[in-house]
Parts: sequence; C-alpha cells; structure tokens
Amino acid sequence: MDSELKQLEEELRGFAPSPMSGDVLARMVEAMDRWEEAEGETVEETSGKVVPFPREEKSSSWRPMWAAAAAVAVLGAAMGVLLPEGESPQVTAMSNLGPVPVLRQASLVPVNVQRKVRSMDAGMVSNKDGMEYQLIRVVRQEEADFKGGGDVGLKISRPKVDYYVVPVSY
Amino acid sequence: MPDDESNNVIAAKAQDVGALTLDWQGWLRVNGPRLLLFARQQTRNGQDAEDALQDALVKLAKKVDEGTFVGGQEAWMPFLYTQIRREAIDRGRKDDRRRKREEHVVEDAKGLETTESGNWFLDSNADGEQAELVEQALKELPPKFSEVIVMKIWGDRTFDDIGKALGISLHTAASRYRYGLDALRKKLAAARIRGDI
Repeated sequence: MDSELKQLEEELRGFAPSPMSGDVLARMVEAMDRWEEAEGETVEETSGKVVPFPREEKSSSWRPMWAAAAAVAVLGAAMGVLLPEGESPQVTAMSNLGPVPVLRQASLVPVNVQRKVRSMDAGMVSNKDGMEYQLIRVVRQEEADFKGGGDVGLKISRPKVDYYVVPVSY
Repeated sequence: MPDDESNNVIAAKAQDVGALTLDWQGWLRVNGPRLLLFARQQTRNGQDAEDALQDALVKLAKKVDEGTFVGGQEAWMPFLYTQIRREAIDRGRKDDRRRKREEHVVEDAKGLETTESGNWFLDSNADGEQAELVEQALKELPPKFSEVIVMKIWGDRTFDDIGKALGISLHTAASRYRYGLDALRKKLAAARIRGDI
C-alpha cells in the first residue's frame, strides 16, 4: 500500500464513530437482559430476568423455547389471579418497562409490560442462636398488554411473592 | 448452610444483579459505536441499523446465557459483525418483498430515502463537514468495499476476521480494502478540488 493510502488510513482513523445515544443504549441493554421475551416466552419466565455478564466459569443452562402462541395461551390461563389482600404496603414502586419492540411476527405482540413491586415488613424472626432478622415480603405483579390485528387485545397480570430475610444488627 | 450465611448469599446476589446489568452497559458503551457504524453501513436507514444491531445483541445474550457461545469474550465482536450482516441481509430481502407488494413503489422509495439515519461519525471540527464528507464518500462506494473499510479501520478487525465474517478469503478482503481505500481517496480528492474540504 503506497504512502498516500497509508496517510488516508490514518486520517480516517481520526474520525470516531458516533456514540450510541442514551435511548439506544438503554434499548439494547434491555433487549439483551430480556432476550427470552424476544423468543416469545411468557412474562412470568422473564420477570426479573437478567442475563449475567459472563465470568470465568459459565453456568450452562438450557431453557426450552416456547412458541409465541403457546406462551400467550399459558399466560391467558393465568388471568384473573389477584394479589393477596390484607396487608398494607409500606413501600410502593412501579417500573414501567415500556414497549417491547423485538417481537413482531407473533399474532399477538406485547405493547406494554409493567412490573409493580410492593414490599412490606412481615415482622421479625430469629434463628436458633437468637440472632434477629427482619422478614420482608415482596410481591411482584407482572402486567402485560398484547395487541393483535384490529381490536383484538389481551391484558395479563400475574403475581409472584418472595420472602427476604435481612440480618438486624444493633 | 447456616441461616446467617444464606442471608449473606441473598444480599450478595442482590448486589450482583445491579453490577452485572451495568457490565453489559459498560461493554456496549465501549463497543457499541463501532458495531452501530457497521450496522449503518450494512442497512438502508438508521432504524434498520438499530434493529439489526439489537437482534444481533439479543442472539449473543441468548447464547451467552445458555452457555452455548463458542469462545470467550474476545469472540463476541467477530460473532456480532457476522450476525449484523446476516440481519441486514434479511431485512433488505424483506424490505424488497414488501416494496414489491406495495402499490405505490415510488412513494415508498422516496420515504426510505428521507429516513433519518443518524450521523456515522462524531464531528471532529467545528463545522463537522469533513465527517459528513467521509460518510457520504463511504455511502457512495460499492458496499463490498465500504464494509471492509468500516470493519478494518473502525472495527480494528484483521483481514482474517473480515474474511470469515464476509465469507471471503483473507486475500480478497485485503484486496477489497486497497481498492476501496483508493476509490475513497479519489472521491475525497474530488471534494477537496471542489473546495468542500
């Protein structure tokens, strides 16, 4: 390669590719974290799904790929399941996960996915050594809106309850 | 496992989730711009470029998560370049079929031409004209030349990597690079004569 081309090569290296905008970056990260939704799986399976940035030791797991139609059917069966009542929430948070742009070819496509999280203090517990822990009950409710052709639509909500214990130190 | 130990595990996992998510973001901050540039070179408009890149990244995330990705982290970029190209080709074919189906082909084509594609390069000087001229010159090159130039100069890929990603030999990749660079020099020289630079 002659010197003129080498000089051009160097000049071109001086032009930096435009950085990704914050919106685009967020969209990409979200899509990577939630790749299973793009595969047409259920909201429940993907709730709180985070693809771990790989370390030296990678765990090998295999998750079956469900067809979009089957996923919608399973989610439809979960409709009508309501949150347990009777405990007043102390903290309320809502994370609007926004539109899911990847799944385009299914007959019903998700247009909005929301996760509502309620956490509440469920009291104190102690272990056999007398150490005290705060028991926290976390209720997550996944809600998804699907739209098909014309006026066809589907709204699905499903709760999930987890308990966490936090050591208490004085 | 004792109770307090299991509690610590819970707390550690909660911290990890936040850190791990940030790692994907950090990796994309570093490598995303060059991948997006390649996607822009491969597709017809900015939206298609972002979609092609997103689909490629999702495929990578899936393979990494399933443990089926062959190779370490150093193999991600070659995989993504290959995948972006495939996605772009698929999109191009679908777009061609769609346009054939549509009645008003001319209006549709006009619409595609006016789609905002985003600047390929950062403006390195105050007026930003040079970056635009380089972008324009690359767009005017035959894609088989511009794709090699984009991968080589801004992707830091070897000719061997480029050949594998494009399905051509190392020598063909190097040859296309030289021809493309020469053609680019002529285009930019013409712009200099016109006083654009």
